[in-house]
Amino acid sequence: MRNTIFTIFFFGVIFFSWVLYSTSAPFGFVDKVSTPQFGLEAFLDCSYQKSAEKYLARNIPSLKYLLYLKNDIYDLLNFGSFHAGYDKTIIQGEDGILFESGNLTVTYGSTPPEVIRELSQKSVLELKRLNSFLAERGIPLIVVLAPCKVDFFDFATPWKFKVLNPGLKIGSANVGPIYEGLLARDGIHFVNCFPILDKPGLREISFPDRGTHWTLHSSALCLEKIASELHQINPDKFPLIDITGTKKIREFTNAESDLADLLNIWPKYSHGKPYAYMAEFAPLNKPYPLLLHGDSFSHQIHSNMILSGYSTGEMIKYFENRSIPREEFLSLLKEVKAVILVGNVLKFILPQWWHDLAAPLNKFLEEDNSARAAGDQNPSPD
Amino acid sequence: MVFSSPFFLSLFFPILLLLYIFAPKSARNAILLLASLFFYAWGDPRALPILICVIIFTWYTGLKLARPGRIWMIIGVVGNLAVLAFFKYLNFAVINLNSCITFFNLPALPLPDIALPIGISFYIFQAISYIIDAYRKQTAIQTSLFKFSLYISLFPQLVAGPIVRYVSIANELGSRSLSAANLQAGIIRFSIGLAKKVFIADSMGYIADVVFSSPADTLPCLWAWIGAITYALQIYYDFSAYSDMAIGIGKIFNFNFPENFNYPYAARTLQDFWRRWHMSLTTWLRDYLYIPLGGNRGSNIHTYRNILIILLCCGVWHGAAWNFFFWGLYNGLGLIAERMIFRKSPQHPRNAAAFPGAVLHALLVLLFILIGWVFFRSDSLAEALHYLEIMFCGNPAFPFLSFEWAWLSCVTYSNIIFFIVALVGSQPIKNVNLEFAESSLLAKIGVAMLFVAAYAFVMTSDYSPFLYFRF
Repeated sequence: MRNTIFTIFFFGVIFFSWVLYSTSAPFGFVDKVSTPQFGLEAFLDCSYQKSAEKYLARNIPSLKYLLYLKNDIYDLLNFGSFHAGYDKTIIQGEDGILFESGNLTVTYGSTPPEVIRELSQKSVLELKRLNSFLAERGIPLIVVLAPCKVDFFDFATPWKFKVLNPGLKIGSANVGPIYEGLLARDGIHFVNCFPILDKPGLREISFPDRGTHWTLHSSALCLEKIASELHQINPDKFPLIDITGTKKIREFTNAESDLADLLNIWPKYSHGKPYAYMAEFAPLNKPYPLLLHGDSFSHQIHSNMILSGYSTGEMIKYFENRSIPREEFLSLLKEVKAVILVGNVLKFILPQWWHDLAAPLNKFLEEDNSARAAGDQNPSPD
Repeated sequence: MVFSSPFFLSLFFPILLLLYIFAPKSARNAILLLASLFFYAWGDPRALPILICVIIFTWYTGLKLARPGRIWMIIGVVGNLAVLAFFKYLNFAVINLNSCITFFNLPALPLPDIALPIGISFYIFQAISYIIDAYRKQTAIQTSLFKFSLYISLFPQLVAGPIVRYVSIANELGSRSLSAANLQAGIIRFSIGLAKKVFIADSMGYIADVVFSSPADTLPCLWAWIGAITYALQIYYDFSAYSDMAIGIGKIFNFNFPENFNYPYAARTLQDFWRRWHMSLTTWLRDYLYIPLGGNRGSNIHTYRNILIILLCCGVWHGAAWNFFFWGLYNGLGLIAERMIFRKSPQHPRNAAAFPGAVLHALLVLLFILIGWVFFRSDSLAEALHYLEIMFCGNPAFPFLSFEWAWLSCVTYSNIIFFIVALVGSQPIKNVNLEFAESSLLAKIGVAMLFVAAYAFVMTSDYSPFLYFRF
């Protein structure tokens, strides 16, 4: 028995990984893996082997339990003991408050102000081009600068960011004014959401503890300001939104609690407040078609537009975290009355986000501009 | 197929093991041979005919060695080396030849673009060792093609060693019995190797990859050092983990493979390091190259020449690239320098009592090895020299203690813990060894827990959900 106990254990672990079946899949989207198709050519070039291995790894019955076990080990090493650092995407700060590592990366990076200004100028130049293009068609553009969670929850930032990068923090408070100055200079309408939410009583509830995006409540306050900005441009075309109250919700939307779920740990991560707030609106029944384009922060704006009756799901042409194809953009401009561009303030200056998202459109607008400039220089005979 | 893949761990290995255990004794070798060929074909099916040709060629020349004369030995060795040269070095040779002839405005030769068969360096060296040992009458000639095929293709050591000499497993090829003690000891050794790979080697590799994949101009001095140290730990733990798993699997099937590492970073001298690092390769080079060249029996100049030759061979054996060549040259020159300094000195650092600075010397040896790994890891010689410049002269663009996020992302507590474990584990600790792991119940429980954790890590390594899963 002494010589076999470890062998039995070894086989037992492998055996249980095949028989412990979990009916629910782990949290988080992963690309689908199709059933591998055997063929001689596929076997010879190893594509069959790769797809079979991937298929097996995704379909082992106990995947969820194994994943929970793995993440619990990380939790023990990184979360549970030291309250900092998890995976490559999620970081836990004080009081169980979760952050997206990307936001902390930019916020606590050492980007000098002159670089911020340079990146902002580049991005505003592209927005200026878009604004002129839309203005010629009588369509207003509103640029919405959403804040980062770390703007309001700096107290919860894991210590290593503060200790190792003292004084290097960048965020809505210092990027916002630079960016909005440039937007104002070029006559682009904008809503900077940070000052709207940076008030006692609002900061604490602006983001859920367990999520990375703003709450329905704080995004509603910003939507109110967006509506007011558009109303000033054309009171007949664009109605105002009236927020009448606030209510506490325990049922998070996906966007508000995705970080906690994505931890895939067992027992379920339960630090942080398990509730958030949303706004109540005065009835409004003047929906109009608009184009909403932006990052994941636009999701809550989109929800509030529908909840408030400001627009409808059908009337909002919504592009979240994806670029708009040129032809589709031109055809949508015939329908929509306004274009709203929503993004986290830091992402507007990040080439990898804003420039990638807007690249097809910018290329088209740039070509359009060049063609027009050439036309001006060489006027046609008629 | 690698040992730390979900397919191997959850399917191939347990099924093979069950088949092997419950099969009649006479069928076990056949099962192992078929499994080995399947294992090889799964990873590189187009290279399977090359492996089979090498097996048949070596076996046939082996049979001919019964005749007097050395011609068949030469045919066997040259034939195997020709296969290695063709598949491993021809591309490199043509690229370098082209850069020479285009300098004289001559037309470049077409690039052959030959794919490197997996594990060719290992099985060719095994084949050569068999031919030479058989020629020297140090082992009996294997007349059974079936058993010889099993020796060359035996999957635990086929693709990444250790380089097993025929003589060391000749008896086991013929007759083995299944032993519960060996089965358990093998599984324990395999589990230790798996945990070393998953937790230590991969954690160190993550940091080293972040550092070495960054443009050198953006590399702060401190991180250049951290990158070099973590790479040194990664390569040791990665390779020794694979050897542990291979030796463990061998033991399960009752084969005794040679040890490949003996705490190389505990070496007191450079010579000592090379006696402890990748021992199956260094002993191969010693026995089949260094000693036939005259070893250290001739003049000092001859000895130095022989040292340089084997270290250059060791370098290019690892890969057909100039950085491996320079890595070999660097180590060869280091060994020669060490030999020259201590040749007549009574205060040899091997003798700690005679040499109070032995610890300092050991640290210098570690530093020397660390620099060598920079050549080994870098993509080119120029890159390696630039990296070393940052390590020793600093990067004027960044302060020594720069903590950009890219570097900061490496600083997780798990990485720090594994780093400490890696450092401590690279030195021998009294009474903490394999015998302890195999005999103590507490150690067995620890290894069992490590295996479960490593298994979970391997099986979920592919599961990396996107943060924005809703879209």
